[in-house]
Amino acid sequence: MFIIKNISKSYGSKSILSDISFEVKSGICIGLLGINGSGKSTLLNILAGCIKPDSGNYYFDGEGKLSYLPQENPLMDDLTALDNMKLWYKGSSRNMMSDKNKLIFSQLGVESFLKKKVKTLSGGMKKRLSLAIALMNEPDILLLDEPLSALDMLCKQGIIICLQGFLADGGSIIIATHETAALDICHKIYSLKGGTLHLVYDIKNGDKKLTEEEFCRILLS
Amino acid sequence: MFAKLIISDFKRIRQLMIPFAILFAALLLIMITLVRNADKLVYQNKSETVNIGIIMQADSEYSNSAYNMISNMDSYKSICNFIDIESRDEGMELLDNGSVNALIIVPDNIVSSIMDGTNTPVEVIYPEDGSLQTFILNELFVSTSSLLGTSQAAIYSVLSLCRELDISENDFQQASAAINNLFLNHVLSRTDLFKSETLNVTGSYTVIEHYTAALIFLLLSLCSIMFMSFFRSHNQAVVNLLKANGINRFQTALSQFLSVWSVLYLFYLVIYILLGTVSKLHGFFSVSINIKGLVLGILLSAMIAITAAIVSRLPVSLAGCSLLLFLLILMTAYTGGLIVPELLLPKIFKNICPYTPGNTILRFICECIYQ
Repeated sequence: MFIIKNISKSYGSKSILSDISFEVKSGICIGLLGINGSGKSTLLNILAGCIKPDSGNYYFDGEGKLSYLPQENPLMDDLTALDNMKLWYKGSSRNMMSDKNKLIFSQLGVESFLKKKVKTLSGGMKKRLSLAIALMNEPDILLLDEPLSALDMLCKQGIIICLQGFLADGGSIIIATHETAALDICHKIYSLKGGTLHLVYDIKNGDKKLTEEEFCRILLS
Repeated sequence: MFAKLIISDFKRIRQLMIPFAILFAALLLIMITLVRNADKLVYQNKSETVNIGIIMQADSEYSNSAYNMISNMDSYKSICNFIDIESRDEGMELLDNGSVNALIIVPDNIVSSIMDGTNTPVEVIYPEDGSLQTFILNELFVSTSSLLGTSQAAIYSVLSLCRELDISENDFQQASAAINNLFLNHVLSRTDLFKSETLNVTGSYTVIEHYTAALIFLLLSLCSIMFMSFFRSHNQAVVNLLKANGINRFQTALSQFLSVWSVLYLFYLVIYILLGTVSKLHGFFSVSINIKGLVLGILLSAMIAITAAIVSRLPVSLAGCSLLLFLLILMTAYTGGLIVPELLLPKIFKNICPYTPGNTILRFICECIYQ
């Protein structure tokens, strides 16, 4: 289980996150909704260790690994897809092509362009490659910032299937999104407004799946 | 993770090697052509006479001797055209409009003051911005005045001897007049006594050696502009993820620096070995392959890579950073006397030249690569 306790963050006098607390259990996907600038990316950056919170902490109850897929693809354009994988793989490059990873690469369809330079890849290919990189280190929790933005339906579907497989294997996900397609895999959805979290959907409470209309209303309210 | 980042940066920079090598070769070709013709560019083949204005404030036998001595000397005759000028005002006007390259004002008591030891100075006025001619003239004047100084010292020595011999005042006066006549006539007509010295605007190194050293610096510096995009290539997501993996900005910059440094050093070795080989085969200059030269390459490449890395991190666009680095290189080279030799620089730059980084680098390169 991943525990987030009382995280606050301000930039100058502007409070971005205020006393954020929640837990992420194994096999659970948490959705974060919010308009641009609401603090979703800041929260994920804090959890990934890229920036420090002003107060509060986060930790695994026990041992755990975390992978982060930022909104912008964390890829070096002048390297091949394979070289990018080797860079971010935590371990010897020889162990990178394990059966499990091969399956992930196959599901995301990255095997076909492993030797191509990243700058020659399409947006969808880059996003799939970035997700493959995030998954290949076998994380317990996956932080995803807008993983489906600017992708075609087919690509979105491929990523959703892959994430469902990750959840089925006991992994957890925190996903910040504007995409209704991503909500299908969420077990809980929080709305981030004025720096505070509001639970808007919990599958355990028997809530109905959010419709697109409700989704828009939450975003705009 | 840091080791993997270094490996990735080496892979990335390897892709820049071919365009870099092409740029390097093109610049090398242009610069070698310039260096081989540097003598002609600096000195030119044709010789121009230099106009010197002379204001003689008195017309005595000795003053005319001094004037004839200078105007008949081979070293002056070949390059100087002496012009008699009536007044100081007229001379200053000619100096201002560039009709004369220097103005010599001979005081009316010049010869008598030499004889009695008063030493009224001859006033030599140069234009504000010196040129090669000004430099040569100054050297000639210095050597002439030193000759006159020597003869004056000889006169005083003989007179001092006369005093010690305790001769009468009348005899002393006669001896003094005779010695003055003898020495002044002798010295002022002995123009063939002048020692011929080779003047070189590039100091103790030949023009080709000077520009070869400048070529090494300019070639590596200008080529480093190509690496600006390499230094700035990481997007914010990569930076953030590196940070999340324990790699801070300094380590990221260090990894990039190591890659650029290695490439620059590799190309330094190419040009150093090339120059050493040409030196052995043709003898244009005396570049020797030695430890000092190899260490120089390490330091020079490191300095250029650090400069490029710092400039690339300024908060301006890639084009802005590249232009800034280009201007910085040009300014360093110009103020350091790498493009125009120190002695030919305008007065303001000539004064600061020895203290500039460019000049320090140039002297360091020359000391390390030449025997």
